[in-house]
Amino acid sequence: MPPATPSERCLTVSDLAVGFAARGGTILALEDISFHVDAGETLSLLGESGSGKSVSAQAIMALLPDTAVVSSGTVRFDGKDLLALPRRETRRLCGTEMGMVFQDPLTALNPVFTVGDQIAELFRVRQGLGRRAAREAAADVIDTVGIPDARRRLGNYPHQFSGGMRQRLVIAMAIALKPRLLIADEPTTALDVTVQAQIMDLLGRLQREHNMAMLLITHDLGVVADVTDRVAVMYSGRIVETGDVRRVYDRPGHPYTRGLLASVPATAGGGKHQPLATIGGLPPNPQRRPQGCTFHPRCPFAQDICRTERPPMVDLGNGHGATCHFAREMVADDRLFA
Amino acid sequence: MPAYLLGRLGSALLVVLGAATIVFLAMRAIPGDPAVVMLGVSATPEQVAALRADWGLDAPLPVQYLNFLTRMVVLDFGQSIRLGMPAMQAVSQTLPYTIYLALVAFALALLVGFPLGVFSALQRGKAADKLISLFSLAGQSLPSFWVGIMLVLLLSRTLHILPSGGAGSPEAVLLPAVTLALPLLSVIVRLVRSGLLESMGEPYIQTARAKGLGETRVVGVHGVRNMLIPVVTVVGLELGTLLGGAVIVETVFAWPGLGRLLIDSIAARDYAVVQASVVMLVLFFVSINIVVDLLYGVLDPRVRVDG
Repeated sequence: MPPATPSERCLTVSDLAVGFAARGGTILALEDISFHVDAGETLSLLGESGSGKSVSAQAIMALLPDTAVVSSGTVRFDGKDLLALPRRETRRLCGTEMGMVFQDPLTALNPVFTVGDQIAELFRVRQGLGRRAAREAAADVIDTVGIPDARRRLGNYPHQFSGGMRQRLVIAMAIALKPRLLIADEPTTALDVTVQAQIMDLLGRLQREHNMAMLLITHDLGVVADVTDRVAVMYSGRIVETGDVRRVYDRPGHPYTRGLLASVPATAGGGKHQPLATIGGLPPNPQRRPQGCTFHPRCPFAQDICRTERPPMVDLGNGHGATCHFAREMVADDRLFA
Repeated sequence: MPAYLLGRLGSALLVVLGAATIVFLAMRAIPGDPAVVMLGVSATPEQVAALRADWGLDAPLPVQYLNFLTRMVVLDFGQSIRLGMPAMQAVSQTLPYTIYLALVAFALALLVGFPLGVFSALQRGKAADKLISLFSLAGQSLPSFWVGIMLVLLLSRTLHILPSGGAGSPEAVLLPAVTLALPLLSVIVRLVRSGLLESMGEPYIQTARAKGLGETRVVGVHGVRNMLIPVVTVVGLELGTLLGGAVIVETVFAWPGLGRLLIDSIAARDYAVVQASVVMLVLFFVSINIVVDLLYGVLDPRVRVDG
């Protein structure tokens, strides 16, 4: 773990496990999830669809559906364990202390209210501002996220904005009350590639200006490399590797991370065209996760022990860790990282 | 906007014209001669012919039709043969009763149906929800005349709480209004329930929650406002059928409204009053539809017609 004074620490998730009630018992969506984010720092939760990234965010924001069951763990924020609080108490921190940016800006905004009303609602309901003051504050926020002619556009409806502009509006709502933690759940997935970079730049700028802690949920390795300090790689409901981004990208300790990185097409300094590497097989069905290491059926390095024993988190130094029996060998394997 | 409204008015006019034509032809197609009804079966053919000539019923059908249409423009439907007054006067005497009954029923359906639907949605799958669903299913499927008779038997004959018919006292409107409201109320419950459940599943509800808004505001403002769009559409259309339903309910409860006038006039082959009543009902129906269309634009900014 990197040294951090307790005052800097913003969010600490420990041993979180979340299941979903289903026919024939509970399906475990998350298990053994532990991570922390400090003020001014960005942690990425990286993983493919269904790996449990979004469920983690929902658990923090008290947005889990009624069918979800938190079976263990703590979420420390602001000196409180959010999971032990009544849902209503946690909600009170949403918007003011924690903001969230959603994946699809087309549906995240309410279609029947003007964007001015939707943003001003935060100031009116959460801060008790009057109608006019709230409107002024909303205009300022819209201006902050880089929407031109903010004052005039207050009266527009979401469908009158482009996708990128709508995501700016969603971000405006998330940061309006200057939260200390910003959770961004795939903020660029639904956007054009050209707009993606602008949105990430905006998030980065806002984070620096407000010294926010940011939890970025994504499956985009490039985004992670560009804006993240630390990364937690998720696979099938568990964190399989965590650490400083540069370390993890340079020397992945888990074969899954290694496979992910290898599957990025090399565009820079190309020349020879190589077939794109892929990870064979599919992630396991959460109802029938394999014994031992959940990744072993897809792992090119799998040994007997992987089929029977669940690997612990192996400490690789400086906050870098991976849940692989052969994590140290992976990192030391210079042959593969020349 | 004016162009859109003009188009809507034009098509509404066509609907009125079509309805007028159908009622004109239908009245003449059904057996039974108004003159014979009036004079009795013992009248001589000469007497019948004279009366028919008096009423202009001896003219060829196209001539009668054109007369009917040209006079309809100024809402003149001719004399009632049964009541001895202009047909329009008979209609305007009874219409307020029908409008009053329909409004009370409509208010009842809204004030009870809406909260019941919201409650049902919030209680999804629980006992209360199932009970309400059962109730609304029954309300939609039971025929009005049966419900009306049962209410009379229970509340008037057995418990003597409310009058069984007529419009003699202020509370006399209650039984017919409840009977008339029941099907609409049930539709509203079901629509509100499913509409709210649908809108509560939308991502913008998560956004509202992430803003830290209380659940009351999340449901009451963000959920309900979106659910209104489908509800208003259907409720607006159902409002028209409320007028139609009034015909049956008024007969069961001897309510002196347009519906009962219509039924009595059909029995007497009182062409003028039947035509006047139906045309007025259709006018109401299409007016309501236009209002609903305009309301739709107010509720959903995405369909607002920019002008």
